[in-house]
Amino acid sequence: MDLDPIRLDFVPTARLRRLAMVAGLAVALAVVTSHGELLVVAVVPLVLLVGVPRSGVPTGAEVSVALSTARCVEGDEVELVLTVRADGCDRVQAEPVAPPWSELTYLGASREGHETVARWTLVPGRWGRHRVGPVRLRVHAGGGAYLARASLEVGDLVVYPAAAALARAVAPIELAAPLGEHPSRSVGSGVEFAGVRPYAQGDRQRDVDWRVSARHGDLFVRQYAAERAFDLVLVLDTELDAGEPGRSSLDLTVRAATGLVQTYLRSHDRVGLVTFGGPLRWLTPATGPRQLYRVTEALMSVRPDPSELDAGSVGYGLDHLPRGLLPRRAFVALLTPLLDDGPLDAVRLMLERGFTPLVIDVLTASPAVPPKSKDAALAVRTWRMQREALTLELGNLGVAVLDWDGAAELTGGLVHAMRAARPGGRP
Amino acid sequence: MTVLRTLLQRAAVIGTGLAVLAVAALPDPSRPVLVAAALALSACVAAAAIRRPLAGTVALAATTVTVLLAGALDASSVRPAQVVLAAGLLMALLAALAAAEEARAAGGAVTVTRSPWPQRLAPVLVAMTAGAIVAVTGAQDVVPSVPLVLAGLTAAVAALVVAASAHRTGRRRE
Repeated sequence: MDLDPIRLDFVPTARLRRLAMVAGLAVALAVVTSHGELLVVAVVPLVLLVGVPRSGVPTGAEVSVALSTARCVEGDEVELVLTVRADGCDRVQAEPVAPPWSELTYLGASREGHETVARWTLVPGRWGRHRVGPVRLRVHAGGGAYLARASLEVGDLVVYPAAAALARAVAPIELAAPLGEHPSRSVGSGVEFAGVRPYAQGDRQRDVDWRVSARHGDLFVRQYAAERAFDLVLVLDTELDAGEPGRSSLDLTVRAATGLVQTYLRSHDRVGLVTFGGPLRWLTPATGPRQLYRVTEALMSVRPDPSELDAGSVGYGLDHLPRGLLPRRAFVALLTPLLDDGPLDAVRLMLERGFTPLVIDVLTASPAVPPKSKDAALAVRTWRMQREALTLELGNLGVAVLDWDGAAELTGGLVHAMRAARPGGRP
Repeated sequence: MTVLRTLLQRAAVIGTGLAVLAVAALPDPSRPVLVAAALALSACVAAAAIRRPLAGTVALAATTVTVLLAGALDASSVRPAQVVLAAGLLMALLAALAAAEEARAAGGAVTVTRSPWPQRLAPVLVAMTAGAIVAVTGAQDVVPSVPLVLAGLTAAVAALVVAASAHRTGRRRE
């Protein structure tokens, strides 16, 4: 590994001053009291001081620091490797600064020739773009009489959100887009058995169901369900983020979206994305690996950075969403913590445009109530009632609300919601 | 593990401080030496408790002064081996104080490389040997003369100047 030279500016430590102090006190008292035997106390520190002069302290070292990867998923283990060559130094201490919400564990150091290689394991607990480091070095030399500090930059680590668990890509029965993997109600050229019908001119011989034909004394052919694709549009409410870091509503929103996007793109479905609450952003539905990268990049930027927060509140602006963005019969899933009326407005807008969205409630936390505070308890009770009222209003609009705690499997809830959902379309 | 290490480091400071005082002040200390020893012990306990450089320096200074006072006031009862041992234990106290203070200052830093222990121990052994030679030489039964005493003291001051010049630098202190 190539090592980069760094300059070490050594400064005297308390040990050097104390050695000088002991020697000075001993010599002074020996001179004042004319007791030569006291000089013995001065000899030891004096020899130590002369034995490790300032000129013997090195002026630099060679180091390198690197991460084993620049991209990972939440919960992955990333190795931080520090290589040091510090000839003439007594001791090198290192302290890497870990990004927030991550665990850093020291694995140990090994000697490789003249170099020392120290390793740490970094486990990021929250998605986002994180700055790792710097690694703070403390280099001791001259028998501990000198100390130099250095700071080594490491770099950025892109942590992608962990995908929510989905057993399979479920789809509504009514599907419009051709060429997919989901069996639909209509008859076509899929592989899933759909029924039998009497033989007609032009039917393929291999489709003849010989068992049924023998039973009825006439020719019957097998029919198969047509396989269609599915358009999924995920609408993310990113205005409010509530809950502890790592399990906040925005974390769960992004994890659920990642799981849905990965699962449905794997099934060759088309997936689109809309984020509102902050700046209104959208991705038109598309399929393929390129769309996966686009959606992932879009998800990585849903957490508002401080400059956006400083700029003040941004209107929802969902009404500015192009009408053509949502394909006919697309299935719309709205991921929201249901903390204000924004999601209700979004649902009303979707209903106006002919889509019945599924609302996935991603709030798992509730406000902490200070003990013996009646006002706080009343406030929390009111807040709960408001959320219940919001859920009831969504139910009155015919919209299903699915609670998701971040750990449960999403497929079951999606199946019921999709079976109940009215196919979307423009009025 | 960290708590245990911290406790051991604090115990080392108090233990070495006590050892220095015990070696220097016993068996028959005078009142000023006893007072200085009590102050030095208090300073050592304070330094072990708060682990700040200033407290450590005060503790070391108080302990050194106690050793020197014992050597000056009770010169007849102090043997050369006792002074050499006290000087060695003073260096041990200095190392214990440095270890305790560094552990506090370093925070979560880990030691990734360290020079081999013979290399670290060699200067201390050389210093202790030199101290022992000086102590044995000083204990020789020679007729004291003014030039001899002056020569000894001049040599000590010269050594102090040489040691200071070996570490003279224009850089700022920590």
